[in-house]
Amino acid sequence: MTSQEAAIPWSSNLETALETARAQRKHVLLDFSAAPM
Amino acid sequence: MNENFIPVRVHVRNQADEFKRLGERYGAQWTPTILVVDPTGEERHRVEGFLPAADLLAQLELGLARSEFARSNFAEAERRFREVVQRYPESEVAPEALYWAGVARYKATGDASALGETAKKFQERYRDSSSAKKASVWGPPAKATAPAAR
Repeated sequence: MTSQEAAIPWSSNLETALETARAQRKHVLLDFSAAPM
Repeated sequence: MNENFIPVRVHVRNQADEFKRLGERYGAQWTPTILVVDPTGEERHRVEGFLPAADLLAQLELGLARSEFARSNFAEAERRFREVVQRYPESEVAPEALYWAGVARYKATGDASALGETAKKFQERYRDSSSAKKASVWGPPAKATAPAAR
């Protein structure tokens, strides 16, 4: 995604992320990716 | 970015089942597709295809502003739209943000002069953008005039 990729704490579980987003009043950034992992 | 987002990545090959499930749910048919999803799971903004970092950040901030607007938080939406224009004045989304900032102010206040003021700003910048064309119907801001003599 960006050169700051390593700093991004990616999760892979949307449902858990949505729960966290609700608790922290944030949004979810959902990335459908084919980038090398 | 972590200040505003919980980042979730679904990989087309390494997580094929999850990619299929969520891809169908959100209609993602290409990579990269990046969605701004509100806490209820509702998609509020979409970016399809690669963008350089600065452009992507502008898009993500536009998405946050659109989310506030969609949830009728118009004052906060206006603040965020104007922040996009201020922080990313040369980005492709800046004209769109300027347009919606005017709409958000109008929705927040009921003051139609916000639309005229926005049209005037488009006479000064982003004149060739599609947002400028959309705003052109709002015309210049009405000037206070003395009542016509009868």
